[in-house]
Amino acid sequence: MGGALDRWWFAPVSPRRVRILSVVVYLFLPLDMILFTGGVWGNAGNPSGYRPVLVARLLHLPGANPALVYALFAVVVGAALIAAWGRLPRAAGYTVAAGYLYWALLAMSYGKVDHDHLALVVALFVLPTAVRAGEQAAGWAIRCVQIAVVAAYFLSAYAKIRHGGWEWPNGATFQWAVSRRGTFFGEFVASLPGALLVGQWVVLLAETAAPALLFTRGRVLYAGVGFFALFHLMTWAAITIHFLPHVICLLAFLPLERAAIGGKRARRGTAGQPATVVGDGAVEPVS
Amino acid sequence: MRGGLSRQGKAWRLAAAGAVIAALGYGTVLGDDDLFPFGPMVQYAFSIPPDGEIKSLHLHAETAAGTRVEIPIEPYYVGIRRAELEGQLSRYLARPELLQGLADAHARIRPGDPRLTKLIVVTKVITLRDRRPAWTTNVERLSWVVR
Repeated sequence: MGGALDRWWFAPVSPRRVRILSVVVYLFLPLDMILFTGGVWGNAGNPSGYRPVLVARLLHLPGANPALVYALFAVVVGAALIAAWGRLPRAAGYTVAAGYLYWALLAMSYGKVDHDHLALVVALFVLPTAVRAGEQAAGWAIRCVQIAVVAAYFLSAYAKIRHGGWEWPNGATFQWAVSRRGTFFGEFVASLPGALLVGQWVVLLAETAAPALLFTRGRVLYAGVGFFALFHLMTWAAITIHFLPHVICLLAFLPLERAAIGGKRARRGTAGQPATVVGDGAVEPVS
Repeated sequence: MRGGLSRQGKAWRLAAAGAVIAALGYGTVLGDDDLFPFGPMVQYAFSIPPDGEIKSLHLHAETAAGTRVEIPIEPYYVGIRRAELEGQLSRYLARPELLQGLADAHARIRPGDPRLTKLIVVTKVITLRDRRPAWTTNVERLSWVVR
């Protein structure tokens, strides 16, 4: 195993960051299942609309029906609350991951597939692997979430060119979005000459540059995370698309372990320096 | 070394990450939405020419109260999302009776609203000139008299 590769994938991270991210993700799930993938509740009454995606077909997953939807919701939310509480974190965590993946597959199997859940699904599967497994395991789990976040941006830039062609940034795609679901704010932005055209270029270039988040640290990294958070805020204000399942995973880039939550002070290094974190300075493993 | 992973612990983690990245790469370059969650990130991944058209589906309805209203195509009105109706429009065009399901869902979800007697699916076409909306027309696509 190459030394640099090894250090990049397994840079020690405080398990506290994994723990805090887990709590955020697990408490977010019930909200997601009611509001964002809440279409599943409606799909339970639409058996003829079931068009299972490949993974659902391979696993022979039945379509939504009222009993199944209630049971799945209860299992996932129950396990998520147990895991957030810190009990049985591994068993409860994997239960949530598998159950929520089924839920997400149901949400995407009725004619429309959304693309804001990649990082969340990845997080659900990797977070339990870091339970009581040390700082390198925590580093790998955090790295995976970070890669998923970056991949969602970079791959969507690629998809815009693959499907929309090189004329994408000079087209009227953002006007299309505003015309179909624009808010008052969105209509206002659209009325500014050139604003949507500039916006298309900024989004395409920023998505293309997103992998830089994996190789920067400190203020540059936080500025990058802040930029994407602002981008999602603007998108939400303009066309009510919030990408929240993805946005909460941006937290994986931040030194959450330094936050004083639940009365516990952040753990500090022996010299009073912040503990080593991925993307925030030293990547040499602590020996 | 504190917090260190064994060789085996690292190996399976790298293999798993590699497999997921490979699946995503395949889905992005060659796949489609069917490969969820490994499909391409195609949100807004299409071009609208600066002098092109913007089309959107709308659901209009005549009610037992004698009014004609627009019904939002949302789970909390008709049990499905607009994008789902758009994704399956050809199926609805071939079998308009599928609209009965939307009317049934509406009656179930919003029992307090006036009963729907006829559903009309309309395509709203906004014509662009230099990336700005110039004019709008409505085209009726299919309709269904509710049983």
